[in-house]
Amino acid sequence: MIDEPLQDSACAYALGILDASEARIFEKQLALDPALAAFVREIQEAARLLPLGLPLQQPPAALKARILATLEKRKAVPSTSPAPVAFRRRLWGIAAALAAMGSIGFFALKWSRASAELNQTKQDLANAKAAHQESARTAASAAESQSKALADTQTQLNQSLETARNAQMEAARLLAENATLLRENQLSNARVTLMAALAKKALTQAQAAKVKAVSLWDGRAQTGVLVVENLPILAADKSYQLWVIDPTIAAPVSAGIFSVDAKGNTRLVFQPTQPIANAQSFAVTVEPAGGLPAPTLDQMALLGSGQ
Amino acid sequence: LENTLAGSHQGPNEEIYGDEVNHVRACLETLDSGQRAAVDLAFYGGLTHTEIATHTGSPLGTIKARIRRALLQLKSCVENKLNL
Repeated sequence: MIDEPLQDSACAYALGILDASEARIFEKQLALDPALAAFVREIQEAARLLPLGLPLQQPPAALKARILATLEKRKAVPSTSPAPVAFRRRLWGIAAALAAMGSIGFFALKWSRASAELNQTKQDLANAKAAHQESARTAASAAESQSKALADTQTQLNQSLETARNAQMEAARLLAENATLLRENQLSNARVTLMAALAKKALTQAQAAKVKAVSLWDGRAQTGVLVVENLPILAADKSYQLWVIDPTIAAPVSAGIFSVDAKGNTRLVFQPTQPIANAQSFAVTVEPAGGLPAPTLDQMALLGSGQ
Repeated sequence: LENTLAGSHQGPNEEIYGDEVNHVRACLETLDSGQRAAVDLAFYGGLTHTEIATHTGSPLGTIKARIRRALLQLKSCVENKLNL
């Protein structure tokens, strides 16, 4: 019999909300207790069903433009490696589940269409090969030039296949991310703000290009969550400081200082130092360790306006 | 691919959901609002028990119980429906 406190820990473990040290302790216990391990597996199965409760959403028109813009970038650099692990996946713990939900036809429908296109392209390649073999038999003198043409065609088709696969992965990721954001908005009346990295004094162009940041603000609760990835690690005498800009308050309001882990990632649950009536914008600056009462504007690293 | 994406404007399609998925959705709807909110904040928001308690203003023990009961109830309900 597993007592309730242990069941609570098992549920938290299955939902991925134990911190690293708690998880390590729990896993030691798990290794020694087969009944607990079986219980955790059952709870994990139940937790994996949660995304099926998401309502189907009509994607906003802007999403299509965003996806197509991403595809254009991929066309420009056909050798780009597959899309990185979804940013929101680790953030909300859902994108992986959604991606795995073959029964969600919303994605399956698009995937099947894309698969059909890929199969057609493969068939084209097979046809091109057959045509080449036939012409090689009838015109040996032309074989060499045709072989080169075939190789070029094959290279182009392979590039197209790779581009299409990458684009489809990116499209699925963006659709999953969008569904998650919409769901989160409905759940908590939170305002989602995507923050842009600024290539000024605080960040180089190359550093800014890698940064991803989003803040979630619940005005009723006066709390928010800031999630960033790939932010450079600062020297020991520096801190990142989060600010909330409220047009009804003369100066930006500090919402806390933070550092990032070895990968440049962090998740900060924050509460501004005074009540916020209208969280118009969020900004992150680089300040001396411990932060300052007012931001150093030329050290701004991230900025985002509410949507 | 662009044509494929253009298809996304056709709107949600409930027909693509199978019976099993509908069973799960029905089970999720049996959770009360407190259970659902606590589980959603944990699963989608990544909030810990303590953070959820702070966020909702509910006692820590209540939050733990809501999450535990919600997951056990979901597991039990889905098993019953799929074994029918």
